[in-house]
Amino acid sequence: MTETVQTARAAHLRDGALLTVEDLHCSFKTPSGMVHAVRGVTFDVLPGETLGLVGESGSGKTTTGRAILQLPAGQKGKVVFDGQDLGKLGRRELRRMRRHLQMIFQDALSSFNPRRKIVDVVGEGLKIQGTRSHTIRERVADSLEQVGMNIDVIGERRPHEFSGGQNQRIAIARALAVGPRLIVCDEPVASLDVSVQARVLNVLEDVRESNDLSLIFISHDLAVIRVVSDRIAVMNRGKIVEIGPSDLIYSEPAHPYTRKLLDAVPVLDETERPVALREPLAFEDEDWGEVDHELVEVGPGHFAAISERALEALRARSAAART
Amino acid sequence: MTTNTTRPAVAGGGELLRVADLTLDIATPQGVAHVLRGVDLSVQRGTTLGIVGESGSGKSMLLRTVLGLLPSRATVGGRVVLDGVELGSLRPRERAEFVGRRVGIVFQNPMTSLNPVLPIAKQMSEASRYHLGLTKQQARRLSLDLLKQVGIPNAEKRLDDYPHQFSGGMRQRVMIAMALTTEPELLVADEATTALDVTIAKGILDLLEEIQRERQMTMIIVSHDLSIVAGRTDDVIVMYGGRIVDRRRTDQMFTGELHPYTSALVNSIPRLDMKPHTRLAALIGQPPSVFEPTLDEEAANRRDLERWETARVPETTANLKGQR
Repeated sequence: MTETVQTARAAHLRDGALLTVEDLHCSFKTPSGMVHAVRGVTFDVLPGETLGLVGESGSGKTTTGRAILQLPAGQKGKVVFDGQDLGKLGRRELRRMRRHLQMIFQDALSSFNPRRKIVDVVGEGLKIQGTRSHTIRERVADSLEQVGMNIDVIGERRPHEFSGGQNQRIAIARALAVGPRLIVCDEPVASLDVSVQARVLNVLEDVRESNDLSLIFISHDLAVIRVVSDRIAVMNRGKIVEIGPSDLIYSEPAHPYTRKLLDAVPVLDETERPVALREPLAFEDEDWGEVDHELVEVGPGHFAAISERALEALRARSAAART
Repeated sequence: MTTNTTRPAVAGGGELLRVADLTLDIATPQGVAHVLRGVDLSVQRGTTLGIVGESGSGKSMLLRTVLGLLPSRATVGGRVVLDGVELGSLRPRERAEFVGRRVGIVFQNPMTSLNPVLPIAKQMSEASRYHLGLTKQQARRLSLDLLKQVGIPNAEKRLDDYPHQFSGGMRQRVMIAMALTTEPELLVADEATTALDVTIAKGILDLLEEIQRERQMTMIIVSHDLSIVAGRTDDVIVMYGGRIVDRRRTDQMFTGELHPYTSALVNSIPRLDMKPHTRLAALIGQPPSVFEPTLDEEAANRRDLERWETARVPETTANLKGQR
């Protein structure tokens, strides 16, 4: 662990957070050199809150999600969960901590051991935690019930017997079984049909509500992100370029990249797209693809990585709109 | 922005493709799969048709049947007429040649349809040398032109690259270039953008639309996602259980009463103007199985309607509990 220089707390961090990620950096060695997947990401999640993490492939959103669970840990920065710095925990302590932090993946089937029965797949975490076997069965039955499945019907079957949507629900049950407080969902519906996707999203909403969970929901699709998230962070090139309450991100997107994503989402009818997209930004930083601007507050709790000049133009326009 | 604008008038006109009472049965170890249960459709020249349905609805198999890309265990009934020629009357080799020249296809996963150990120039040349009888040099020049047209940067340098050296979006552009080699009259995109990020997908769909307009091609876009098809097609067909259950002009997608299944699909799609924590109207249960023997139409309709009705109202905590 390197000594981190104590810098001022980022303005968009809030009090009472369950999870705080500060200045997270992740890089990988590849045959073509070092890849800096995450280059200084700061955000937090309140208890019971859902944060949508959106961006394209390569934006660093998945790496960020995994680094929260220390899979692997970031090389720099802090992940603080419930007051504990996860980077400072030993292996055993971390394992105990993972009871509170779970993850579900895009391809549920490949995250399961194909030779195990569903009861064992769902109960795996509990077993690792050292739970007694009859308690395991009870907990597994309960979490399967929460995703609309019956242990007596499916418990003895194996993962390949289920459809993509059903496996994703089983993955949710597996995460729930250990009684987590936060679940990182990495593109959980990206490979599903729309009709099945709706079911999985509803189940996820349901278990979030009844278990008072915090969620980090990672997706490239702003329409999916919209229906689940209280707060949204938009990532591009390993950095957060815009973060704030969902309603503001959609009604007043301030970063060119957010607008680009909103413009690209396929929609049933154009009227659902934010009205704000119909007129250009007050001032657009043409260099946003290469230069990292600092996050500045553009609205209440709403921050965007834009230049001073863009911020001034934005303020001037909203002042003009008010008069 | 290209979506939901008025689409230009159809050039040329006339029917390019007609499918009449098409059935497809495939013998499997589990019994006979009734994949298509009587499909009728007609595509006019210069128009774009969208085919929508859940997995297993038969939309991809419909394409395969039309193109003659079926396993030998398949039994096909009905007629397919392409460019005035009844395909069933051709011998397999003639048919492959006839269809190969007239139809270009872009599949969902270019990695499985491209040969990983051949440079793309070589793979692209295959079709032009076979169907058009070009020399090696001519074929290479054509490949280069096409790669430029589909927006591959540094096309000269990339001709000898292998498929894995391209990103997902670029690979899909290579596939489009390949599909255009024989100057087809019909371009088919089967879930061509499903695996791609939204911004990349938009680029691909915009490109297809542009190419179609320039070349006055006919196009079929197949997707499980109605919102991909909305605004980019002239007509939409909705498939369910190997049948077409709804067909309409795309611009009349949302006027008047929707078909109950189309309405179920529409309700299940998340919208940009929804509020956080919106429960969606989900279709509960499985669509009809392909192994089901042919039901009488009335019974089938009744059963289907029952499932479609499940997506009338958004799921709530209360009714979710009731539907275990």
